[in-house]
Amino acid sequence: MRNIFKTTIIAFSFIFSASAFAEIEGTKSSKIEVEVHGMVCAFCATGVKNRFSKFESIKEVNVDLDTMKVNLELKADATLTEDEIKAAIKESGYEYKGAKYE
Amino acid sequence: MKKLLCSLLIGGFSTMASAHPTSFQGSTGLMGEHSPSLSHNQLNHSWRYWFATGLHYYQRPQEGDDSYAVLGTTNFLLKRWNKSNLQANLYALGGAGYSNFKGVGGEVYFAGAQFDIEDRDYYFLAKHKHMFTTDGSDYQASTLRVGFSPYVEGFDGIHSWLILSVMQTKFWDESPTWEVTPTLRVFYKNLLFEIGQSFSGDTNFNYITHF
Repeated sequence: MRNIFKTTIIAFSFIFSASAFAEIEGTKSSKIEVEVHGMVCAFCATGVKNRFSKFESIKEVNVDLDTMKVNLELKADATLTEDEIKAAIKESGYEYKGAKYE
Repeated sequence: MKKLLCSLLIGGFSTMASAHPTSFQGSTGLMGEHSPSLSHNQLNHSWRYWFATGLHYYQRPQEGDDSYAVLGTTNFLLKRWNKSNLQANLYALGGAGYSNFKGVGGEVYFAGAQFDIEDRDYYFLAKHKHMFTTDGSDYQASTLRVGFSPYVEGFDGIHSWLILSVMQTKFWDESPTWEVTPTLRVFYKNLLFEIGQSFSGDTNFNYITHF
């Protein structure tokens, strides 16, 4: 009985972590909120916006300077990985601090 | 790093508008700084966010069309500090070209450094640049700027800054001149304009755009 319980817990943990990984990869998300450090002016934000606008997978890019966040809306069935987001922020000259997938 | 920043702050500063010498990767920037004593237009292309090359055209309007210099420069972002509500940058600039400031053409070499720090409310810039010529027509300029934004706008808004600029310029054997210039900066997305009137009565006009 104890072994069955243990196995069930491990199986649930695995399934849960697998689905969390899919969210981090962004494959199931249509909206992504990216936190960026250093993006303090409209000039800076224009650079970030232009960089994300080059992605085929992105439908819309909106910048919120008050919260230092970039909101991305993906096209239907499009994907965008965390590594792609990190690279885009770095190429723009700023620092990636995390992303929330909705 | 503290020593470096202190030496920049103590060592003298210069120049006019507050352009970032490098911008986001793949961008091209057009900038101009105009005063009765000097007109300076530049075109920069950022190959990386930390590296750009530029083409500069200087002219002394009071001396006529023949008093000019043309330079190519390389601009490096040595260090950027990205914080949640703040950005600071340290740049180095170098270049070479042709100077006809004195009416006798010759080689000219250029070196400069810039430090700036800004958040959404306050802004500070210190810059020094020096043109070394073979005919003795060296030019140097140092600028200190402090500014604040009377209101904070979003990305799509029209941003305004009130800036006080202190600048010292020296053309070869002429006496150094000091100018204190209250300046109004207005920018919308990738377009920036500045207009200032110095205490000595000179009007300055600057612009920057990135595309």
